[in-house]
Amino acid sequence: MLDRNFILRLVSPLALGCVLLLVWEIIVRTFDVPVFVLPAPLAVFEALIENFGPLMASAWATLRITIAAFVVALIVGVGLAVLFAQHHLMERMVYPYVVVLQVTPVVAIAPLIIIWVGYERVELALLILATIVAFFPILSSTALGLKSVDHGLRDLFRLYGANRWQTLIKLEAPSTLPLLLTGMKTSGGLAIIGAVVAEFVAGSGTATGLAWRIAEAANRLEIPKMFAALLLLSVLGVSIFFALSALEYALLRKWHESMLRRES
Amino acid sequence: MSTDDIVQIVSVSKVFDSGTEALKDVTLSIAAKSFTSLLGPSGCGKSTLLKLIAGLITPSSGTITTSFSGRGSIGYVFQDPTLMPWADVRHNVAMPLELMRVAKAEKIERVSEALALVGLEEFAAAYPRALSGGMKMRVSLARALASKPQVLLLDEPFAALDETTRNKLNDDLLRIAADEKLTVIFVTHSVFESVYLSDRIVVMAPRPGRPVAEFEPDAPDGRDHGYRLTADYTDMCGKVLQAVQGLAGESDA
Repeated sequence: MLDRNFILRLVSPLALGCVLLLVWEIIVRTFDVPVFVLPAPLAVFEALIENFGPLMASAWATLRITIAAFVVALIVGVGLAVLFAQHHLMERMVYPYVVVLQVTPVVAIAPLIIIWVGYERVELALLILATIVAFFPILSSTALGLKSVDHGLRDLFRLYGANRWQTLIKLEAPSTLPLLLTGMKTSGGLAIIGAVVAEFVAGSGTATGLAWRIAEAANRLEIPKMFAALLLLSVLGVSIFFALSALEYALLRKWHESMLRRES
Repeated sequence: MSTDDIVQIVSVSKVFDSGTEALKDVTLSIAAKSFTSLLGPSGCGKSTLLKLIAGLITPSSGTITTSFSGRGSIGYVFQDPTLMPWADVRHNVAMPLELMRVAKAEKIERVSEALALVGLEEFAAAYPRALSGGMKMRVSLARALASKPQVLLLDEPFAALDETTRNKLNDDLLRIAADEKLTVIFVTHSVFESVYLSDRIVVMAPRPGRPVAEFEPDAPDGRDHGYRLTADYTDMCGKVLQAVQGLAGESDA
């Protein structure tokens, strides 16, 4: 049976959303706001239905890049963090360049990546760019998690002769999991931002994602269609966030402090 | 090293990288199947000495010889329970056995035995968050016992517990040490606890840590709370307390 808190958490944001949409619709109708400035929610919904096929195809293209970038970011981020934890010299050598890559705006390096990869393989360029944007939170949170493992437990593992692999799998991995999941939630959002930004920068090419639909609709002043594409982007972002939150809940609910409800 | 000794510490000093001299010229032997308490104020190197015996850190000078070897020959209990929060009680207790790659059937049997020793059979499926402080320490003790160690090293394990729980755990520890014929080295700053538990009390002085006095309480086997009310107990507590307070005066001066 669903408890009251769960229903409140689900219903209250939906209720607020409905009220805001209603207010939006009333304002547009009352003040006769031109559609190219601010289309009413119903106009956006109509545009979504009219362009459902192309918009969904574009959403799928963006989602594909986002998921691929997220998976690569996860592998690269966790892999580098584990490597850094094993070889501190490697961390000292490589980490500054990772930070340089992170603080350099993706729009600044996108043209270079596209030239290097080639316009005929623009999807690969998008993947690389979205990965660059997404991997740092996973790397930094995993690295922090690996460094924060309980020293007493580390001593016990040494005392019982654990090898490097046993320590990694049975101690460091579960101990790091909460921070890794936090990093993944941040990276999930960044992956979609990275995919969209990269697609904007890549221009037309063979790109067919939502960013391209937004740019196309803006150029043609099809503002309701642009809002419909924006709406789909938001849905993608929120879905990724909730999927990762559900994963976090499934993995941590039995033991992690953040998942425990205090009794009053 | 006498044949009865299980640990022989000769002229051991420990200086940490920070320059802190934790121990200076410590010479000490621990007899097999004895219950030895290392007693002293905070910062006198008791925990450092315990880690040296366990081989978790190395001495700056001197030698430590032990007659036990192999994985699982030492059980170690920290001041904090140091449990894995993501694992239930059963898996926490099984941890040493998993690392030692003990066969599954034997592992299950040993975990059950260890949990029975500390009276936590009913809580095998519970997660650490659901346990009280005393129960967590019992799990920690069960984990240390699961590998069937020869030596049990305890670093102020009951310091954070209330007196009733601490007394109960003291009795459990005495019973387990006797039943399992364990050599126990017990770090504490409680005079009363050390007198109740120990065959031998080594009083350590701080800065740098070194043994300065020894006592051998003649406590009866199978003692219980009633022993705390005897003249022997209170006399010994008085003597040990005097030695410890003398140290406090020395360091205050």
